[in-house]
Amino acid sequence: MQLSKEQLRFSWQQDKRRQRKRLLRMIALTVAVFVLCLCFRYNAYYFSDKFVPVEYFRSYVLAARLLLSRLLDTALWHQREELIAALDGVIYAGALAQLRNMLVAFVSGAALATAGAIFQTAYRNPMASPNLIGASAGVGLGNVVVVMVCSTAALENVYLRYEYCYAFTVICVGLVLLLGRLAGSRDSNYSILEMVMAGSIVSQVIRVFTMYFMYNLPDEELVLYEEISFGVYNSTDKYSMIVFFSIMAMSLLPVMLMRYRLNALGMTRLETAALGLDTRRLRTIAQICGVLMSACAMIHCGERIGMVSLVIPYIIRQRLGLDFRYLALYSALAGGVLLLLCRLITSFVMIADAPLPISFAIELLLTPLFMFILATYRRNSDAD
Amino acid sequence: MNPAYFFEAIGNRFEQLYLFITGQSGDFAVTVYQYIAVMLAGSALACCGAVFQGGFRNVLAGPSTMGVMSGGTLGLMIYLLFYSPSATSTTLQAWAQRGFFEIFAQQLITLAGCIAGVGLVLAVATAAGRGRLSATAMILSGTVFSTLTGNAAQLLQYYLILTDPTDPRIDAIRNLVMGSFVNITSWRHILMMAIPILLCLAIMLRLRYRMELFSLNDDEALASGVNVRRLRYAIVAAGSVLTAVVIAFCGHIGFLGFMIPLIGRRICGPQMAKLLPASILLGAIVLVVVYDAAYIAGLQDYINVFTSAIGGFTLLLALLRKGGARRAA
Amino acid sequence: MRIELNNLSCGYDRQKPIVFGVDMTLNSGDVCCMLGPNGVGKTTLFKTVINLLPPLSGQVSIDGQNIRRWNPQQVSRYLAYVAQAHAPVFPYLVKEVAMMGRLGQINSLRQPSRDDHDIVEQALEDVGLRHLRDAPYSQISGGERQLLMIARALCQQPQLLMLDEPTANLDYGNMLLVMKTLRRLADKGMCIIFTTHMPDQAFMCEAKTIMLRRGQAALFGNAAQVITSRNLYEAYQAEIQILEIISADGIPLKVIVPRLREERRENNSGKDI
Repeated sequence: MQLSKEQLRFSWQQDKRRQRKRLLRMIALTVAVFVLCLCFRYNAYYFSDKFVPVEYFRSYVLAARLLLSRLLDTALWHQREELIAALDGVIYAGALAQLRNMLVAFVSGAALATAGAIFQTAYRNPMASPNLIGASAGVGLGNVVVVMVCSTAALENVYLRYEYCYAFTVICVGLVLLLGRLAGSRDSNYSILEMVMAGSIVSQVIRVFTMYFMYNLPDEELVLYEEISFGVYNSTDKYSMIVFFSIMAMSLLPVMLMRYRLNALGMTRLETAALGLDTRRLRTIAQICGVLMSACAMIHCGERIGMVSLVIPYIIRQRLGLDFRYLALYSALAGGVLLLLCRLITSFVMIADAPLPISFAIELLLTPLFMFILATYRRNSDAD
Repeated sequence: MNPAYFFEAIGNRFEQLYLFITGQSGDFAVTVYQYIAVMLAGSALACCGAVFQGGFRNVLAGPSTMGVMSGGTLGLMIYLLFYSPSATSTTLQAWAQRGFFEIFAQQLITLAGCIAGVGLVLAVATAAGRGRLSATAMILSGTVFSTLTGNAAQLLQYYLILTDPTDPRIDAIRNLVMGSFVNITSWRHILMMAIPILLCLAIMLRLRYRMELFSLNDDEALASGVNVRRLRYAIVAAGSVLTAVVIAFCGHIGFLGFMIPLIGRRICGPQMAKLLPASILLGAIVLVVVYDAAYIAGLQDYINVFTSAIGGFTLLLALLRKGGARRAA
Repeated sequence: MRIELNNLSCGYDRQKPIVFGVDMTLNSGDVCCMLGPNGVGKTTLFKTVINLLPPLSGQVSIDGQNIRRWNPQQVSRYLAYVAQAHAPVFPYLVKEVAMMGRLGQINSLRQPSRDDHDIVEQALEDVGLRHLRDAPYSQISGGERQLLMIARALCQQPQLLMLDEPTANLDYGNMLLVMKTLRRLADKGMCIIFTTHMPDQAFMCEAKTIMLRRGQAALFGNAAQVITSRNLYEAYQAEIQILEIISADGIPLKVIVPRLREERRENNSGKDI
């Protein structure tokens, strides 16, 4: 029976309306959390010191005006020193640093969650994540080697960290994939179990070696490594921002644009061939992007932050469905929001003159959550 | 590395042993104690791994994958946080020569941590499997928990270094995480290690024939008149005690507990009657060999690295061989 | 549309063809039933037809053109493959599963548009699943799952549907439902090939039949020609009678009756063909 135009239009609008409502709700939550975090100072002790909405928002408004004046080349730009001094240079710098750190945290969280979503769809397994194939172990090894080799230069020059960490991540992931392929069957349908086992073995061995190198560092370098590894140290100068955001753009944007096509990752080769697709290339691109973005996030936030990739997409799937179009989007937003909130909360927990590292707080929060999810996970196989 | 160096080092060791046996040198006593501790630790971990693998019917079970070691690490860290040594004893030597009751308290807290850890992992696995044990949930939660405790240990160390770089607890944490036998310096330590370990080993050996029942279904096992659940509790308790003692005295020695039974199974089959004694012996021997190799390489304070590397490579080989066989088929 | 298989032989190794001597011609609106014992090469033949495997000899041509040089997207505009419905890992919604049929037709950087949505809705309507569009895939019955697989293939807007054992795990009612849907689609002009283990279905759909045999060339023709006692015996190693009976409405029907017991034929009612 041929459907009428009215019927088609009705169901189309119904779907659209539902999705729009969800998206708006999610965006509203994100904006609310963003605005909330913008009011707080990171490195202060007491609540009265921390909660500085007025000063910070004045700084943001001034920054926006200065940016505008710079673009339009008005006279305001030349008076910037006096304007900033009028506010208080320290507060202004602090506000901008807070904004930058928040953007980095948000995009990192989004990247980690999206990478997790990609891997969970690609391996058809709700427990997959980029750490499964050795990404976090590689970043950890890279961190320790860069501290060993370059010492304090690693702190100033963030490119060194990028080079070393990416080099080791590539080696690590390549090793895991190679071993997984060797251990698996001839069928190109990516034997998952072997990959998981190879991944966990290789990760564990590399982690132990990382710890060995770490303990052979002198004390100052050990502290440096710990700071980098836990993501305590945040480099927010202009150039590292540029590098960070360009890498993220390079890897997040293609994934977001190909959201619909990535649904094909979960289908068998025969089915996708019949649909007219070649999923080998798609799979490679998706996995490369996933590793790229999660390694970048881990370089900035410490490599111990891997649980976000595991837990967030899982929760989003339970609530909001599996279509990768929406899974990727909502996971990204949820991951970013989680990282922002954690950053806010940990800034209230001060130990030894510094806030609790965000990656540890996330792990502390997400590990019990993950165990709870494991305990209550029910495979959705309602056979008839 | 120069091969001559190896032979020279080995020759040195034998010479020292000879001197000690003939009573001419007393310094070697500590080394002998450490070797005895090594053998005890190896056999304890291997036994723990073997009974876990048999009791939970899963090849991947072991003290390091089921949260026992991580729980013990956590317990020990809490002990280090709150029961710190007195202000006057700041040297490592003094830390090693702690009093009896202090060590006993440390052991108890470690044991409590072990039991808590394995209890958590088993609870999650049981809930996930709806009454039965879900193997994937067990391994996953064990892994995640051990990552968490590893990070907690590192964070604690980081804060300790920040506040006071000369704190002996920093070295204590390092020994804990990397596995070192430096703390074994007197026969008292050996005694405190040996009594619980040998007791548990004896109990497990006694029960090894009943452990065959685990290979059956729970219902069938029930029919045979043995209380399977109580046996499982006994296994968990004994495994926890064994691991707790090892952690409290020697630190975290990973991969051993689940690699040795794998090799043992290759040698003498999966029957627990033969596997358990074989694993115990093999564990002692393997750890002695590994410790010696580590000593020669100068890495005797980083046993964990060695066992993890060896264990990891062995597993990878096993995985590849299985994959190769599958591909040829 | 017209698809021809000319002296096709398929396999993975040039020296060891699995299927050979396939000569088949189908037009739009034809239904073809593929019979043969387990492991005889039905899936291999499918893979060759959709150009996933190169043919060892012979060719597959659509409307006179050899499809060997076509890329997967061109092929997917004519042919669609329907897999057997399996237990799902992830509970996608019915409409999301159907939408995946459009994957090959939408540019990789674009999202599904309104037209795609309309095609999906129409496909769901054609198989009769529109009332379930918001249900999770894991909560519908086996027959409905198979229909959903068909709907997904229909979203490609193909001209030939290939189904791999569409009724394998279905109960009787669901099997009839799927057969009815296939017949309805064929009446609307779709060409259908499906594999099955029940030769009855060929008679149900008034289909052509191709029978694959181990070590021998394949047989193609009308159901009546190909499905004979002797052919069935060679294929399945079982004594099977084919009887023609007159139904209550006066329509002659063919029925397949396997003989299980070794008994002497005393009562011979009905003609043995």
